[in-house]
Amino acid sequence: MPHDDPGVPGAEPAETERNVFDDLVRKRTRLVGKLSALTCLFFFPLPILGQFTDVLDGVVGSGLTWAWIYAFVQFPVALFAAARYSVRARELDRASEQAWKERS
Amino acid sequence: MNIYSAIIFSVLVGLTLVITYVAARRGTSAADHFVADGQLTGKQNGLAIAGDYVSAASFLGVTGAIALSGFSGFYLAVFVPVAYVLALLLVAEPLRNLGRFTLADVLATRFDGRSVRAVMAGSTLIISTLYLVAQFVGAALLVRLLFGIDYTVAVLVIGGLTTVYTMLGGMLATSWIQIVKTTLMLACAVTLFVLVLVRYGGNPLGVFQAAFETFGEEAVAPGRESGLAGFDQLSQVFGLVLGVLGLPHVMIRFFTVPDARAARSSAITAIWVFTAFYLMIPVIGYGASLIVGRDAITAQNPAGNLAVAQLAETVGGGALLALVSAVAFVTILAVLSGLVIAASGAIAHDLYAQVIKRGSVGPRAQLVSARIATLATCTVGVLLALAAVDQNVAFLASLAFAVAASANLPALLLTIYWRRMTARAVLWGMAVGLVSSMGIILLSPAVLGSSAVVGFSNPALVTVPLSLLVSIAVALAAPARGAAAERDRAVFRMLRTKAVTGRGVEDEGQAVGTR
Repeated sequence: MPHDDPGVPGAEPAETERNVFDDLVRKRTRLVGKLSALTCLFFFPLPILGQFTDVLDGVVGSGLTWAWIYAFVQFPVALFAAARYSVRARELDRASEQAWKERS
Repeated sequence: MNIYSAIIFSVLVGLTLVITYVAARRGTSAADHFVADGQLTGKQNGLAIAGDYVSAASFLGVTGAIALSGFSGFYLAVFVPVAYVLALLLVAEPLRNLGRFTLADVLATRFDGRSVRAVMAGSTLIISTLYLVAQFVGAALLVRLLFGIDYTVAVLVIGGLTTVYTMLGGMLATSWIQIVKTTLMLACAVTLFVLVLVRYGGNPLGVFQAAFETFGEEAVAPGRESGLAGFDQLSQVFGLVLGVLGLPHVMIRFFTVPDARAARSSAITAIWVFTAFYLMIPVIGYGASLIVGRDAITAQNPAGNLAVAQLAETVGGGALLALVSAVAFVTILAVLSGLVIAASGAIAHDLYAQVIKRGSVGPRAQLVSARIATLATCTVGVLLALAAVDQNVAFLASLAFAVAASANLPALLLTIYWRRMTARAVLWGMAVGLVSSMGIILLSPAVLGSSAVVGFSNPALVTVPLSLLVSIAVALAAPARGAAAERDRAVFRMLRTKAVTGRGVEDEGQAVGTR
């Protein structure tokens, strides 16, 4: 059918091409899901523990409590998550560009 | 206002007007007005995005909160990098790949009916107006405190300048003012950080130690509220993190760059700026409490909003105070401008051009309607700020975040990522998010004080899951069937390919959503 013919402008990609793009989308979605979950799992215990327990109250030294240390660590962890995503996303961009080139 | 203030204030405002003039000469279309025609680089946009948070509220408010309450004040800052990592991961690239001027454009890529666009535009207007009034009133009060100017005059000056920036310079002027302001704000923070450290032997931990020795454990350990107040605090943090991803005036900044890669770079640059800025804030905050003194801080302003200004004057004299005050003023204008652009986009592009005129508006008419909407938004902002002079409007900013988190975010995420989402589910989810978040806050202690019906003021922990559940339930209960379901599946497939790769069937002539 012309609608499925990859040679026809505006047509749906053929089955193998759809699998390539579906695969790329799935990989990106899994990466996003994993990093988002890890980021939230690392951050939200801070306000929960700080608000409902005294686990973070201890002074480690020089006036720094575990709360302050945990809060400061949020920043390099955020940078790490962003950097990790950036590297993987660039790889997926290259794969995506390749797939589009092969399609055309 | 002393001579230092007058000179620095005049120079900074003059600079913003020059930026606006240059932007006005380059801006000739609606695309220029709403999204700077995608001309910004990732790093420029990152600085502009960071500017929405590296603002007067952060610099003055968070620092003052740390000076008076210690660690608990830092909750208002520590959520920011987390929120922007989530923005980077979940929405930055899809927004850039799917949208054009507004968040409603993103939804319309999949659900091109007018009702979805109208509801998102309405939500954008509500959020932007709430935030605008809160910022306007806060700004005028701050200007009154910093410069001794009458409240009404302050509102009119702020409103006038904001109108000039946005009507003439659009998003390009707004972004460049943010970029300049963020750079200056960072410079002010570094200066204060260094001047405080000098008094403690160059050792940041010396400041923490001094605060611990002076004020005790309560200054360095998390403060705890009992009962519902604890839930309220947690809900506030939850709402702040998720609200960022639904704030229109922040998210539309991802439309100002040429492609998804630049959108990614924008978010990463912003996270770096936040890291640099917020890691200095605790030292500045504790420095203010130690050098200026808590009693002196609360004597000037009970909430501690002038702690930074007092610290600047103590450690750097009148010149540093003038610089910090002037930068805080420009900061306020920059944030207000971004809010006006977001609101005017909802009015002119979504409601007027797409809903009322059904897309048949020529380029010249688009620009004219954008400018009229901008003027109208600024006028309404001024009038509301004048009317709210004696009102406690602090809760309006929290309400804006709560509505953004409850109404916009579930709709955006489920539209972009969930195959089974439907237009009806978007409408229901947004309506429930809007009504429940506004309802809870209006019945809460923040508005009704001791007569409150609901015992907490930050609804996000309740309303975000509620909106999500309603959206999912409606989508599953009333899915598309037959040919409509086939069409929906095909549209979703094209949308998610486009969201992730930046390209779809649209490149070969078939339209996906409205353009």
